[in-house]
Amino acid sequence: MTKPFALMLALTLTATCLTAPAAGGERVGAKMAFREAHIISQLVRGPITGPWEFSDHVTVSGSGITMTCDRLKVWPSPDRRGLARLEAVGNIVVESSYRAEDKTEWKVLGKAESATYDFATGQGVLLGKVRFQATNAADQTTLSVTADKMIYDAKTASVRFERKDNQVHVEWQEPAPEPEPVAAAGSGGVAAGETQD
Amino acid sequence: MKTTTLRTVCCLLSLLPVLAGGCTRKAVEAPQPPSENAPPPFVGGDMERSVIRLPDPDGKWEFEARSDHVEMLGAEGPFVLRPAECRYQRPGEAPVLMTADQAWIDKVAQRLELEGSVTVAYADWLLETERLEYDLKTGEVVARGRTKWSFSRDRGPESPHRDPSEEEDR
Repeated sequence: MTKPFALMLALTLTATCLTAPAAGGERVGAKMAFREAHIISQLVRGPITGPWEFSDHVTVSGSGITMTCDRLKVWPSPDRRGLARLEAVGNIVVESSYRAEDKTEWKVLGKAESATYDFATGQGVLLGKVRFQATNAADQTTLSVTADKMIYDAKTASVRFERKDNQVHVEWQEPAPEPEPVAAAGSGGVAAGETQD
Repeated sequence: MKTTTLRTVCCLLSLLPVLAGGCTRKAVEAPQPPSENAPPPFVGGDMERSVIRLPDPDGKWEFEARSDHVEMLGAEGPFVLRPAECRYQRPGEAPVLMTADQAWIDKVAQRLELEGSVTVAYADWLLETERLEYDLKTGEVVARGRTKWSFSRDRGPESPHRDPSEEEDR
């Protein structure tokens, strides 16, 4: 398999992996609807009508998504019966899980320096040293993406990664097979799946 | 003749207490300046099952607090309520309903401090914390310590934090 082809395959798999739940029409879209959300922190301040500022060990959870960050600002919707916008800053960690169309379970981990989500446009952005990782819960296959920016569009169910040098780093790592039993004591060698420096 | 004389005597006797009272009534005295030995003015007290209302002079909000036990630390407060149920309302806005083990209401500064098992319900939002400061003039809230801010579209009418008057709008 040539390198460009492998990269193209990895990118295709990335897109498939990320958009498949949305294409299913319920997972990602439903998550962003947020019928219920909880925000826990050590300090909250702001007008009672919003926006509210949360700081010091902030955790946001709702509809299967958990995000931790240093500071968070939340704008309620104009009718005060929902969310309008989130802005998070500092040590963003987003964790989620979903079931793809082929019923495989994936655990998703995203890290960034800042994050925003606009509920009206359905657009979420992760900024600054973005690290995205999706792990197949069944076989531990892992897809990793490193970029400067990740844009998620709930309306088109698509994800876009950007990097200043236009080279988004994508890794597709198959799980290491079980090492075969050592035939003879003292024999050296490298187990399958490992690499040598 | 004897009957007439007897009636006259009876009338005079019945008027005697009235006349005696009039004669013994003290004259109204002019107010005297308080002397140093006079008892201090009212500085506080306790009230049971009371309601404290703080109207905004500009009419931008209304605040009301209820409690089984209210301690007044001065004629104009501050008031200490144990426990406390409060309601803050701005025209055109959903009411803010608050409960706490204890509330400290400063009428002059128009500030409210809640402490102990504090809940603040506003529209579909519910805040739970242990200590909260509320500036009634600005509507600004500061919650310290572990604070949970929850949003739920499913917060139904049976919720103790839902204002019944809201149901008409839903």
